[in-house]
Amino acid sequence: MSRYSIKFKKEGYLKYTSHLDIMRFFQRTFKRADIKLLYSQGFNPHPKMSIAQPLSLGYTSTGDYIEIETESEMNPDNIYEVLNKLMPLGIEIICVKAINQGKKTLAALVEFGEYEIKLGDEYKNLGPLIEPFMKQDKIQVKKLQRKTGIESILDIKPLIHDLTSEDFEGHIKLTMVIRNGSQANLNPELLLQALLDYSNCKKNYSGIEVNRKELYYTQDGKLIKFEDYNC
Amino acid sequence: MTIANKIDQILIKVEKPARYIGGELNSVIKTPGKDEGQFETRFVFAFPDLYEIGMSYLGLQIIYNLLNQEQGIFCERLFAPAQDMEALMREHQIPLFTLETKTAVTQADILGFTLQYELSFTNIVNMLDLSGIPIKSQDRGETDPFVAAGGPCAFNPEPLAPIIDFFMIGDGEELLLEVCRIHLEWKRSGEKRLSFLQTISQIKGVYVPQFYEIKYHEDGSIRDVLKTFDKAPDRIQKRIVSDLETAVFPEFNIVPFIDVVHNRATVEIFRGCIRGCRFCQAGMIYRPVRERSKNKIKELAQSQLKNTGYDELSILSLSTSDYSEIEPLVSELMGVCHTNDVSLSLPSLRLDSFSVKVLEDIQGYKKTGLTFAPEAGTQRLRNVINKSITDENIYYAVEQAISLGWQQIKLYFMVGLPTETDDDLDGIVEIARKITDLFYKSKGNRGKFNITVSISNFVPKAHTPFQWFPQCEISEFKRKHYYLKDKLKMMKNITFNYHGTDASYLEALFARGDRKVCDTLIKAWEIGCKFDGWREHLKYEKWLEAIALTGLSADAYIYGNRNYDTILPWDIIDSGVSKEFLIRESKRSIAELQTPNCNAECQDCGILAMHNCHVKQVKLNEQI
Ligand code: SF4
Repeated sequence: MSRYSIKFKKEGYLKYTSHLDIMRFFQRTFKRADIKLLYSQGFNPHPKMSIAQPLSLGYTSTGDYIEIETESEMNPDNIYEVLNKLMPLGIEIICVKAINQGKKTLAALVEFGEYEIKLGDEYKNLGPLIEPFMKQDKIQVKKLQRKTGIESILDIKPLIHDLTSEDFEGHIKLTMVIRNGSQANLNPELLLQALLDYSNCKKNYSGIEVNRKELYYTQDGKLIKFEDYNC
Repeated sequence: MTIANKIDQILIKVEKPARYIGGELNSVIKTPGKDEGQFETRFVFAFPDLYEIGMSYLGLQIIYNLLNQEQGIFCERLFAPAQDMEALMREHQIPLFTLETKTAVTQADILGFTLQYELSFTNIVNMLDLSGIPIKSQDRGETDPFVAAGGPCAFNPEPLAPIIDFFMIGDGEELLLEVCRIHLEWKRSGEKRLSFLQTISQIKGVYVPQFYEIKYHEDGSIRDVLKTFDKAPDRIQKRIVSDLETAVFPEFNIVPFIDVVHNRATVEIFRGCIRGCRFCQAGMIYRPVRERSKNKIKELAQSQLKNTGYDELSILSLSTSDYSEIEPLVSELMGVCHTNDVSLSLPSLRLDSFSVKVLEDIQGYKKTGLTFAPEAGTQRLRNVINKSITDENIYYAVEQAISLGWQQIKLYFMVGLPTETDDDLDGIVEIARKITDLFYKSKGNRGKFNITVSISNFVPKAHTPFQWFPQCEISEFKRKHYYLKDKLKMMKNITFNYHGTDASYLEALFARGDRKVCDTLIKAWEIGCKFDGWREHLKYEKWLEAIALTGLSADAYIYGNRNYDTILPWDIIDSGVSKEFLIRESKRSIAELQTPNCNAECQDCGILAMHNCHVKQVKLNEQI
């Protein structure tokens, strides 16, 4: 019995597949690979397999993680090789690592996510505004409560770890490290909206590309990449 | 902007965008060219309904595998976009595109629709329009794709005849390959469109409607069929794949990302049916019975499971229990499923002691419900329709099932059958009542128990002994539904479902229609009809409007009596089953006589003129 963390990419049209679709996809992949997952006990047993942090429909990711528990111990390099042979275009396994039994689940570990957003050149002048934007005492956004329909004002500043921009082939690329996970969570598009509000740029963006690059947890106040978990 | 770029702008706004992206496991992409692995002929397999429905259809997987194995040919997929997607596509002027390469359908060489049910026909018109292909065959030019169709509804091709350039009748495996190979030659030759159609009209199984002109009597019935191309065959014989053992069958099924109707590995165990139920079109048009060997079935099942990772295996046929080695097959498949840790599902089982036992093994504590399809409520009416199940069969199996712990029984019946009276409806109520009694007798008042009675409306289908019978009137259908509802609602634990009568009326119109029906179809689409097979989308008022606007005597098709000499619109298609046999069966039905099934005694259905019949052969050998 062993635990593994699998880092994978999800690109191209696969950004239109949902969290559930990807779960189903992996479950079948493990079957094809003859990797036997451990099952939970109980009336309705399900395989021990979970995705660290669900990705919104429409986002690509170069840093997604799935955690599995297998019936018998395996060599992570073998898992990596077998799985990669079975991937369709758009999904790729980046690395596989063994994790210790006692450790927290990946899902419980997530604290931050790093996202890249590409915007068209009509947003060129955003770059210099980032510093003053981040220096504000509060960064307030309106948020519509889905259940109640009530709009509330939210200060998202504490949820932002870092925000930078760079020019990129005639586009502007924003990189943000923001809170993710069960304790606190910021939607990258909410931050983008706040920035656009601040800058008086055209607000009705469409066709933006969002890519998740990495997930982080903290240790002694420092952000540590998921990839380096337990190594 | 390319189509791919344009769709990227709208996909995020639609429900289930993964319906439109392709790229699933085991899907195939080829590039144009003459080299190994490239293609010259692009066939687009079109399913005129949503992705989730089409991807659950095994025929798609068969054709896709078959054509993509062939050098020079590329098969892509196409489904009807849902209404939200369609609206955005129209707004952004995006033509209908294929899943594999996001290419406009106008770039296809052959666009082939599968006709699984009549109420998908408006979607075909809509899909042609969304593609920018002229709807009627006569309006298409040299650069347009050929629009083809096949599948069970092609056995009455006439309502679509003005739209479809050519139909393929019967089993598609060999026929489609021949057509595509000829297309490849034709494309290289640079000949005219007409010459391709003329060439393929010489292949057995191909029907090119424009080579036939229909002459009508004053009352609208058919007087004569004239050929406009003298080499076109008088009648089109359906194609039959002789040997399922060697026929191409998918081992690398495309595995959808999204949840579709059936997410499972599926192996067809035999084609055809020995039963001869008189209302059943499939039982007639898929004759003769051809089986796949037990070992081959196991091999295919294993390989599909390996290549897809599915956690369920199912077998497919018209009547599972009639497979010659059903008991060993099931026990060996249970073995396969056990080793692979997947579940087994056995549809279309006739419920007897063996199958109840098997279902107990398979379902264990997750009992889902047992299904019986007596189809009619009395023995008399079951004699009329030639359904061999008896009351004793039902009660015996139900008693066993109850003692093994089943608490849910589903019963399927048809109403509006020829010669039906209220006594037959009372018979339905009686069966439900007896089953309830059996439950309480065995379990006392303990436990939840539920019976679902589902009623469908009889639609007289082409190539069946009932093809001459009129359909029951709408008002009479409704009366029958309420009659049953009134009686059944007095009883506890009964759930009652019935089909919409509007849908059945339209289904009959297209099941029995001729070429004149096509203008009504196009008109209905023009005024907003599509997805008619979906209860929530069917606009019956619009249909009536279309019928009125085109001056169609719809009732005459549906309620008109046809005698045995009438030329029927589908007579041009030779299903292999002879008219003599159908007439004989039709007369026996009126006389309330059952006809033995093929295993018991060959009935000389006529198929022997076209193909040998294994069932008959086995019988003959036994006699010697
Ligand atoms: S030839 Fe005889 S046995 Fe074969 S399908 Fe026809 S009736 Fe049945």
